[in-house]
Amino acid sequence: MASPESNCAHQFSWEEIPFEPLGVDTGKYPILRAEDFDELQKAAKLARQERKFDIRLLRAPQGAGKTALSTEVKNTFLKNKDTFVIFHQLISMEPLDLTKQVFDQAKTNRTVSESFLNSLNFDSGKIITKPELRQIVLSILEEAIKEKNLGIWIVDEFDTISSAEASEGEKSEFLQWLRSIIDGIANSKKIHGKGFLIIMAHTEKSAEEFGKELKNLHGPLQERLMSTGTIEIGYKLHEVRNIILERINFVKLDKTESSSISPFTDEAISLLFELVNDITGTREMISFRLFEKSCYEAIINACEKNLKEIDAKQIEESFYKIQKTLGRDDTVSNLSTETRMDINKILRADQIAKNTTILEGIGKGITNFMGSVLEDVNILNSRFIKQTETGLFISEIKFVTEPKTKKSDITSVWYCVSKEKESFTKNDFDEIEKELKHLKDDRMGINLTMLCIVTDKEDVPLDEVDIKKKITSIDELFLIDKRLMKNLISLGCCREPEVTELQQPFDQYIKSKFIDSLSSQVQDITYAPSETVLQLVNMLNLLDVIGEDATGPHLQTVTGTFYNKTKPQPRAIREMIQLGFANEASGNLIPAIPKTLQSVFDLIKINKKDLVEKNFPKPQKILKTAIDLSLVDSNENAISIDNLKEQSNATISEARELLQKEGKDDSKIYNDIRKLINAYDKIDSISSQIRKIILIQFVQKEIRIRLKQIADKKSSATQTKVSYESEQPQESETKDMDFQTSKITQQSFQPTYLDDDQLMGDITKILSNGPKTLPELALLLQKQKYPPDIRQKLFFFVKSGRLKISA
Amino acid sequence: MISQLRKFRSAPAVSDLGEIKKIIKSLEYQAIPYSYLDSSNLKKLEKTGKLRKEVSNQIGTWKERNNIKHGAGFLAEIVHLLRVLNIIQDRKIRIDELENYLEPDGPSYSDFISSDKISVQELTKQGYAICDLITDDVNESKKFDVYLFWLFLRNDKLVPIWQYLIIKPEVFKNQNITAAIKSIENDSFTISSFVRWSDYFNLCRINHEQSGKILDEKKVALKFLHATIIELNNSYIGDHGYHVEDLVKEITEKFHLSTNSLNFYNILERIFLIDNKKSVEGSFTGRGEKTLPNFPKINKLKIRSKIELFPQFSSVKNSDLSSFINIRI
Repeated sequence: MASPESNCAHQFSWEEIPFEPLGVDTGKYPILRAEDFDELQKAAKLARQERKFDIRLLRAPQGAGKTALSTEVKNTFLKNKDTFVIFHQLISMEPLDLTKQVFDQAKTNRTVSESFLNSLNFDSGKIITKPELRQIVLSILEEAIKEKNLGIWIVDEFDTISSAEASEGEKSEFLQWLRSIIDGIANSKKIHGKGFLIIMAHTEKSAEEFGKELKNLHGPLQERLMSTGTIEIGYKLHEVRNIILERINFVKLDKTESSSISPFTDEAISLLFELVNDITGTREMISFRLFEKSCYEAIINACEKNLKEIDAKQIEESFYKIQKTLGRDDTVSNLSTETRMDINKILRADQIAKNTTILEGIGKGITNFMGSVLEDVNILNSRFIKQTETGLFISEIKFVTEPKTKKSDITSVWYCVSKEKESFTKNDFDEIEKELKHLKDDRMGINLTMLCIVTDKEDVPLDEVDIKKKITSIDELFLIDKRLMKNLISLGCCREPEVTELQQPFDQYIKSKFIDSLSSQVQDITYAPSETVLQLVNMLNLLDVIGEDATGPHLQTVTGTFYNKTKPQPRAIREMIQLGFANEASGNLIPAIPKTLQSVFDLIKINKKDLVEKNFPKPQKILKTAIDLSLVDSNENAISIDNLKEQSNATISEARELLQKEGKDDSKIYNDIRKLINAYDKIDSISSQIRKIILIQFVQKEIRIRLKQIADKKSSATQTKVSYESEQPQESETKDMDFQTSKITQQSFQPTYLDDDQLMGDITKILSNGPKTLPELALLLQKQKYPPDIRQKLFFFVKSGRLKISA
Repeated sequence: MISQLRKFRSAPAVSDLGEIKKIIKSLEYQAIPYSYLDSSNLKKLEKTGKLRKEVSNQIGTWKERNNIKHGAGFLAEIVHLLRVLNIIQDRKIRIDELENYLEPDGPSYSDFISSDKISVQELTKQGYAICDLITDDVNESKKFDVYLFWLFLRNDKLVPIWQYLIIKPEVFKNQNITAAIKSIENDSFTISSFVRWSDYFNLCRINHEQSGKILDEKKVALKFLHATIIELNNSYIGDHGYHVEDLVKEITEKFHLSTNSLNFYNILERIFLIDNKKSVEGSFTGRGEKTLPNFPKINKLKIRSKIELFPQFSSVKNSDLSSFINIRI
């Protein structure tokens, strides 16, 4: 049975509709050279006549058959026997690749003799320096022009420099190398007196825009290119009309040639020409593909409506229909051929590749489209996890994101689960939950768990609420239907400049939910808590253990009273919840432990510190928080509850004795101590070890403070108050000192950290045996189990004058 | 292969690994905002009026004095590599650090940093360990290189090129190093970086017949032997021993190797022999079937203290080294 397209073609007495996309690229339709092409020929002729060196930046129209046009350029020049042409594409920013291309082209086209090429001793497997590579390219070009009058070197796809995954430094280095070759040609005695034309062809941006980019990367090369003139090839209206005429004549069943472009009217073509140019912002047609698509659509429309003529109104309708489709869900068609080929490859590939690319798409989306909420994004790891026996394919990607609103990073893991052939069943969701539970260790240090289920095989949309009830190990669920899957795969495959084409679906389906999760779901220790928050945490734990309910306002009041300060703001309560130290249930606050902190503590307790380093994105940061909270000592060992209790015994006994002696004292200070002792006595009713540690330390510290206050009060009448303020730090003398050789001789030390007293004591002991160099001092401290970054602290002390260095 | 490789990122463009030494050493006593000091960023800041020309020149002088290249992206790429290798880590600058100087006569951080949101780079624990190996002593310098190689094996961000290569017999026979890497990786930056790094680590030999540089089986085997010693010294010293089988499994995983791509049983046996019971003790327990190949009564090893990294290797024959690589060449 004939297809609707072929029926339509027959309606106009054609073999087929002559606007098949990619028809030119595949060589199906004849290529019509734009008049601008003559400019290029003129440049070549001039180079030959005047025996000069010239270089041109050429922009060829998109969709008019770039590959075909480039080949046309090559073939046209090759017809002249006194001309040699080397034509290749720029594939990377690697001098070795370009040299290899020139070498291979020269070999394949026999531009130079095989023996000459052999004499160059070029082997791309060897390490060859850039100057050597430059010399190889130059030698080939010099040899090639020996018997000729004109040399043409065409570098197609020059805009690879925009898309190549290279750092600006690498791009700049490459362009510098390229320029050294261009200068080499211009100054070559062997080329002097002959014509030589270099054409750098590109498509994606206007010559002006491209010039700007080149200038940023390598100003001198840009100046060189732009000063010699750029050629922009675009189609003028009459050329476009001629293309249509050629196409129609090409498919006519009766094969008669005519000058009519029927069924199109001239007015229709002229309007479409303007509409397309409006989109590209050019006076000449550079997006022939859009033009072609609109013509195709107009023909199909005309067939459906049984129209014999396609006028301006019809063409306008078709143009906007195509535009609308492009904007809605056919974003893929706006992408480059290379990207579309990659997308198709992935769509045909196995589930592993699909999952990986979907997650890569999400990664690209988060990196590119969330700049308004995220300061920074880092992809930590991406991997395929497993194929289950029930046919589920599970992959994951992990990101560290730094939200602008948070004080620190948030780490998220994104799982992608898909099935090869069938739809998802309820059992599959149980299976997913089971697998996610198995992966619990994998989520150590993770603040957010996201799950993407690829539902491309589903006829009926899945019920999100039902799935969330079954899968409880996650913070957010994303159902990826067929269209979203294609969009994410496209995003995963597309080149950097194309990402914006795919922003809309990402924003709509992924970004908004992720932002919600970032702001509401993350209740974990993503940054060090403030002092106020820690005070709230302490008080909440105390109230909980003595059986007192704590609403937010109540906790604010008792904390303020206990610490003799203004009551904390409600935002501190929110911060405490946000950091994972409390949950809210029926208006009451329940103490909790941030999950990251719990994981770190558990691992350290079982001597698996290496797993902290392996699994946590920023292990040092998390360990430091654990140290700051005194859950872990400075040697990164877990604090033992028994040891803590033993250490606090004296304080607790002293407090008990005091209460016994001054039992009737009803002042706040004594009541505070009673409350603290009460909490201490009930500490074993707490199951969480971390909460126990927090509480014991809190109780001990606060009792000690109060016992000291009572003692101070008693002796204040007879004793002078001791000032703990030390001398002002002396002006730093580090500027002229060499740390490696200068000796540290004396110190005037002012504690700034919790354990500075201890550190200073140790430093004093070491220096009492004679002055040491900074490295010597650091080494000796490290031997006493101080961490290696003690060196930063020592430097800080030296800089602030607390440690003095003498020459 | 593609789906396996996609998870890794392009290798940073650090053509000379020797360059990283001065960067590591400079971080010994203070954190430095290296990413921020990359020329591309400085140019941007200068253009937008956020950096005075005078300060920019001072930074330039500092770079020149310290032989740090000016190229845009140079520092960013090195920082990326050091981060990937877990030698450095980022953290936000502390207020007190704004008064730090790049060098005694140079600008202070506050001359070019106005926000406390800027990240500085500091050494990690591993970073300090490798920093201590940067000295003028030739032996320490050798240690630096093997330690660095070990960090390459352990990192999970870069494509494990060497780990993939050692299972291909042709790479030791007639396939030149570039072609060999190209056969498993198509990212041109990763290819060129690993070619250069293979050179830095002296993993190749010249094949005069046709292939150019090819991987040298013995040199590679020796590197893995060293890396295994470092791994044992770093994670396994203690009073309780480890079953040989568990050690092999864990080290294989830590080095991102596929099972059986290296014969760790032979490597462990060689270490046991060279060490001559100074640090490594062998024993036999009921559990654990696998023993050292020529010691049927040793299926457990206890690493009591640090194993010497450069013992007398004269006793290690070429055939011993070859026995570490599992494939038949």
